[in-house]
Amino acid sequence: MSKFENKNNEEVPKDFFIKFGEKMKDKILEEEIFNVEDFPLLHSIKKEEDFHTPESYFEKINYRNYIKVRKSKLLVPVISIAASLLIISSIFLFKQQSKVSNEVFAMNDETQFELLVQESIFSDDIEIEELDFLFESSNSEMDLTEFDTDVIINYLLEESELYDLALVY
Amino acid sequence: MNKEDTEILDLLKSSNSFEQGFNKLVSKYKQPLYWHIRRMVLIHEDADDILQNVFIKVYKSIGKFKRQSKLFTWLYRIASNESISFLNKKRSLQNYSANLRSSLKADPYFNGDNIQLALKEAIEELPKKQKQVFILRYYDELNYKDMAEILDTSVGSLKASYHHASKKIEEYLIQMDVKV
Repeated sequence: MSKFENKNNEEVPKDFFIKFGEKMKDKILEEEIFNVEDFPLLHSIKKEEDFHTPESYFEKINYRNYIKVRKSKLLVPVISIAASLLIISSIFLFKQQSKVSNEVFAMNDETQFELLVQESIFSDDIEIEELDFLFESSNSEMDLTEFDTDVIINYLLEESELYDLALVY
Repeated sequence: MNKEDTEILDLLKSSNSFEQGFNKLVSKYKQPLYWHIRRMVLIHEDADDILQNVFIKVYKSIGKFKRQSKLFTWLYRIASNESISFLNKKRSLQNYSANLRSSLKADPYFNGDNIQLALKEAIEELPKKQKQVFILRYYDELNYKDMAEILDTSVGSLKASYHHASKKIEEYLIQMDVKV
């Protein structure tokens, strides 16, 4: 038996010596490499609460604030994408309609128009009302800006997949 | 990791209890993180903005937290990094330290005396990393082991850094003829 071993059978808490070693290691780790007296001015300054916050500042901080902020931050790119897609699709649809109407209006006589109908742009089952509409419009310049903007936007929205996104917007 | 933090992380794991967990996390850490940030950036409004960013970052990335470090050291690391990047971006434009005394005197949320003002000026003169170390040790009273985790540095270099910072501050206070 080693002369350092417990000869008196005195009890110590379980793992006391193992934990003691760890405790000492942590304590040494936290020791400063200087003495407090080396910096007397710094260490004699009281750590008073010199900073304040607006009244009830901490009470007003709620986890929901951050969830909301995050959601609204996420919404911005979604709305931007939706708006961009809406503009692009509006331009595309506008161009398509202009192209059709330009081609239609470029024809001066009825024969050419009938030919066009037969050939390709419109299918055989095209509604008479739609043809009339185009025909009448040939007298005045087909200008979408003459229509109410809201009506056009609503039409485009209803026709496009962006409708749900635009509702959020 | 302590029991409360383990409980918070367990709540955050499930989508059903996520909000409850996040609520607990914000309640527990809003004050210590705010004060750490405030000591770094000094102005309440700036600290408020940074605190918001910190919690948004936490909200977004808590799922990636692997429990390899303590929750509070992870949070402090985010807060500390956010404060430093704020100082790098904003303060370089403002030359804030040159007008520190007048800015703090005009700040409705600061009521320190001349000694406190001199101490703030001395801290502001420190290089950013040294300032970070000084605030974590002197004001937040964190141990070196946790600081090493937050700043990803060895305990030895943190001790040396704290020593240098204290020495510079003491010299500044002497130079300013501060009497305590």
